[in-house]
Amino acid sequence: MEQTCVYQKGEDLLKVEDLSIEYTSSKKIVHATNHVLFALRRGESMALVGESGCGKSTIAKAILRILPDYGARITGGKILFDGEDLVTIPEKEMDKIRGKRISMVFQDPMTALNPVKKIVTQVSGVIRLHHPGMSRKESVQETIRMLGSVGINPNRINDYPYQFSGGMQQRVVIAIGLACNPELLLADEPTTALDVTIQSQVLDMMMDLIHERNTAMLLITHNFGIVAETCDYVGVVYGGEIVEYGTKREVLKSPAHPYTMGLLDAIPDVAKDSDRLQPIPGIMPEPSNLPAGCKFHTRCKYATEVCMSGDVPVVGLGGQHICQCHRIKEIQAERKREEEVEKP
Amino acid sequence: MNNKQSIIAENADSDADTTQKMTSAKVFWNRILHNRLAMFGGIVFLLIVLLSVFANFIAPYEYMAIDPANKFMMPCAEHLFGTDQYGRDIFSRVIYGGRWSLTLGLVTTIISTIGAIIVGSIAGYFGGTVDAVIMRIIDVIQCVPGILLTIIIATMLGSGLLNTCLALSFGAIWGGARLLRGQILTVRNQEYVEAARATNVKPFRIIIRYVLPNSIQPLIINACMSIGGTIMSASGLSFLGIGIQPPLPEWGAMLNDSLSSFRHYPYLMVAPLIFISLTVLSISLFGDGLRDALDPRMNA
Amino acid sequence: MVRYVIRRLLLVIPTVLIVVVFVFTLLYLTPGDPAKQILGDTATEAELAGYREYLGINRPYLVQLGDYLYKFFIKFDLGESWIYKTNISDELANRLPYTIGICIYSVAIGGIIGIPLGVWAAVNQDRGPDKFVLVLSSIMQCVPSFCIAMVLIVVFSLKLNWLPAYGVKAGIRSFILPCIAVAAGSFAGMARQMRSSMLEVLRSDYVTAARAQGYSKWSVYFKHALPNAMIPIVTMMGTQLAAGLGGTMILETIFSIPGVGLYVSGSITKRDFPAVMGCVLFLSVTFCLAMVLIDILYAALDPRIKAQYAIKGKRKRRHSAV
Repeated sequence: MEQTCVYQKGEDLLKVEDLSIEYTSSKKIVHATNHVLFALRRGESMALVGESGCGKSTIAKAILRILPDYGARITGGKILFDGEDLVTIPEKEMDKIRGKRISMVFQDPMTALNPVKKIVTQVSGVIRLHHPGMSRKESVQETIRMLGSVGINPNRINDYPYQFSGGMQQRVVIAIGLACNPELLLADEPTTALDVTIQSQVLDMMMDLIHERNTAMLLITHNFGIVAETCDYVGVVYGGEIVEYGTKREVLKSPAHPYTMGLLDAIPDVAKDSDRLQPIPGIMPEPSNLPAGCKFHTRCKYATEVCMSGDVPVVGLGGQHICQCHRIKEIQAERKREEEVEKP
Repeated sequence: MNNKQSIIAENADSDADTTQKMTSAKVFWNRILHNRLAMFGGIVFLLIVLLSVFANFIAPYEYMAIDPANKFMMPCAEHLFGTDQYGRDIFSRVIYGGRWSLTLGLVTTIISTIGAIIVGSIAGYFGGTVDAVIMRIIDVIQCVPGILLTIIIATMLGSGLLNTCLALSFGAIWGGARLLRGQILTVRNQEYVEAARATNVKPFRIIIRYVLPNSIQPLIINACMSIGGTIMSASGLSFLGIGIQPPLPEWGAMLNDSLSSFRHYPYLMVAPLIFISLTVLSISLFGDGLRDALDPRMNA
Repeated sequence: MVRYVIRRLLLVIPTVLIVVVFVFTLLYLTPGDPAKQILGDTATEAELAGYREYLGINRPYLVQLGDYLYKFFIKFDLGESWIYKTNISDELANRLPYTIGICIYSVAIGGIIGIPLGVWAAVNQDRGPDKFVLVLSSIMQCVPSFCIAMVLIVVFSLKLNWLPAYGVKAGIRSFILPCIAVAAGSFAGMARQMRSSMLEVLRSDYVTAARAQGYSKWSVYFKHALPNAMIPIVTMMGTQLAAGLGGTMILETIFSIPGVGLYVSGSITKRDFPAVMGCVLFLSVTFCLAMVLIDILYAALDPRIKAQYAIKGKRKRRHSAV
C-alpha cells in the first residue's frame, strides 16, 4: 500500500515506516498492524488513540522488540530510531537500547513489578545494568533520588510491591522507566488501571518529569481527555492502521476521519442536553478477518461503494494534518450541512 | 442515501451471524473428538477393557492351567509372552488379569468419589465448626503415608476384591473431599443458594440440586485422572502380597510372581509391565483431554 | 511469622496423638492372633492363652490404649518388638538413615533432572523440546516405580553387572539403583510442574517489563523468571519427599534394603503391633514436621506469603485488642 509521508522535515528521533506485524497461531493469522507510518521528534509527545484491540500496544512493543517470541512476527517495514533500524539490529545492540534509550511504562503496575523483589532492587538493578561501572552504593543513592522525584519516601525503598497502593506502584514503574534518562518513553495506558482520582496526579507527575528531561513520549491511550492534557500530536488507530494524524489542535478541533469524529462525538458533553450517548455502531472487525478496502467502511455512516475496495488514499489537509479516507471532501461538506441543520 | 443505509443494514446483519450459537455439550464433544491424543488414549483403554471382558473368548489358554513341561518358555508363536515357572501362558494370564486390575481401579475410584462427595459436601456446605473438625480429621489421616494406611486397612479387612477396593479407596477419599470442599465453599455463597435457603429448602436438597451440580466438575476430572494412579497403587499392593494374591493373575501379583525368578528370566515381567503402563497411560491421556475439553477458558 | 511457626509446631503434638489413637484402633480391630503367629501352630490353647496374657492383648481396648499412650508420651518408650524382642526405638534408629537417605537422594536426583527439563520445555513452548519432555514425562508417570526398579536391576545388575541388585553392603553403590528407581517417577512430575510454573511466569507482565528494561533474554530467564517459578516447585519437592516415605516400602522390598519400610511391611504381616505402631508414629511425625518445614520455606521465598503468615500469627492479639 502506497503512502506518502507528509510529515514535517526535522530531526526525527523515531520514524516508523510501513510497519506490518502478524500474530500467528495454529489456527489463524492476525494482522495486528498494517503499514503503519508515523514520526516523532526529540522532546515531543504523541498519542496513539484507538479502541481495544486496534493494535496500538503492538506498535509500542514492536518498537522495543518485546513482542512474544512465538507467534508474533514483523512482516515488513522499518523502525528508525536515531537513524538505526530497530527491526534489523542484533539482539545485543537492542538490549543496550532497551531501558536506556527507549523505555516503557506498562498498564497494570501490580503485575508489572516483580512481586518477590524489593523496589530498591528493581530500580537500582536497571540503573546498574546500563551503567556497568557503578557501584551498588551509588546505584542505591541514585535510586533514592529517582524514587524521591516520583514522590516515594526513602524509608520505603526496602518494601515489596504488594505493600504499596496502585498509584504508588505506578510511580515506581515510572521511576524505573525514567531512571536511565531515556530519549523516548513508551507509555502503554499508564493510568488506565488507577483510580480516577489518582490518575491525574500520576499523569501530571509523569509529564513534569519528561518535560524536565526533554524525553520524547509515545502515549497509548483510549482516553481523549488525557490526550488533550498531555500530547502535542495525535495518531488515531483503527484496524492496525493510522487513519488520522496531526497536531492535537488539528485532530481534536477539526477531525477529518469519520472514526475520529465518531470517537469525539461519543464523549458525553455536560453542556449539551441529550438523552442518549452517541456510540459508533457495530464493533471493530476481527483482526484475522479484516474487511477489504477501507477498514472502517462497515461502521461508517458516510460509506459508499467506493469505500468497499481498493487502496485508501492518504490526504493532506494542511499543516501536519493527514487523513486516510476516500471521501474527505464530501464528508466535510455533509458535516457542515448537518451542523447547520442542528443550529436553531 | 438509500445505498448507504442498505450497506449499513447488511453489515449489521452479518455481524450478528458471526457469533455462532453452540451449546456447551456440543462444544465439549467437538473439542474432545478433535483431540487426537485423548481419542487415542480412550480407544486404547477401551481395547484393553474389551480384551479383559472377553478374555474367555480371546485367551488361548486357561489362566490357571499348569503345564510344568513347558515352564519358562520364551515368547514364541504358541505363547505370545512365554510361560511362567508353572508353565502357565502369560498372555492368557495377563488379559484375564485385567479383570482384577481394571475392576480394582474403577470400583475404587467410584467408591472414593462417592465418599469424597459425601465428606466434601458436608464440610463445604455446613462450614464453620463442622468444616474445621472434618478438615482436622483429614489432616490427621493424611499424616500416615498412603500405602501404609492402605496396607493396614487391607490387613484389617482381609483379602478379596471388595475388601481391597475398600482399603484402596480409603486413602483416596480425602484428597477428593478437600477438592470438592474448596469448590463448594465458593459456590455456596452464590445468590441462587441463598435464595434456596431463604425459601426453606432442606440442606440435603440444596446440596443435591443446587450446590453439587455446580461444583462437582473438578472432582469428576480428578477422579478420571486418578484411575491410572489407582491401578498403579493396586498393582503395588498386590506386588507386596496384600489384597489380590497369587495365583490370581492380577498384574501386580504377576510381577510378584516373577520376583523369584526374574533375575534369570527377565521376560516374565514384560507382559504385566506393558499392560499396567499402557492402561495408565491411555486413561491419563483421555483424562487430560477430558479436562481440556471441559475447560471454559480455552477457545473452541 | 515466628509465632505462626511455633503454633504450627505445637499443633503437631495433638495431631500425632490422634494419629496414634486412630492407627491403634485400626490394629486393634485387625483379625489374627499374634500369639499364634509367634508360637506357631504347634502351641496348645493354654500356651496361647498364657502368651496372650503376657503380651497384654487380653485387656480391654481403653486400657491397652492408655498404656501405650502413657508409655509413648510420658516415657518415650516405643516398647519391644513382639517377634524379635528387640527395642523398637533402637531398630528405628538403625533403619532410619537408609530410608531417609533414599528419600532425600531420590528427590534431589528427581529435581536435578526434572527442573532443567521443565525449564527447557517452557522456554521452547510447543516446539521439539517441549513435546519431547511432555511425552517423556507422560510415559514415566505411568510406569510404577517397582517396575522401573525391576527393569533397572535386569539391565544394570544382571546384564551389565555394574551395580548390586540388593543389600547395602556395597556402600553408596547400593543406593544408586533404588534412588534412580524412585527418581524416575518423581522427575516426571517435577518436570511438568516446572514447565507449567515457568510458562505462567514467562507470560506475566513483570517478565515483559524486565525485557523492556534491557535485561538480556537469558538474564530474564534465569534471574527474573526462574526464581519466581521455582517457588511452587520447592513445595512440591517437599511433598514428594514426604510421600516418598511411604513409597520406600516397595522399593526396600525389591532391593532388600533394611530400612523402615521393609520393617513395617514385615511387621504388619506378622502382626507385630508395637513395631507397626512405632513405624507409623515415626513416619507420621516426620511427615508433619516436613509439612511445617515446607510452609516455612515457602514463606521465606515469597514475601507475600510471609506477610500472610505474620498476619495469621498476630490474629489472636488483634482480636483481644478489640
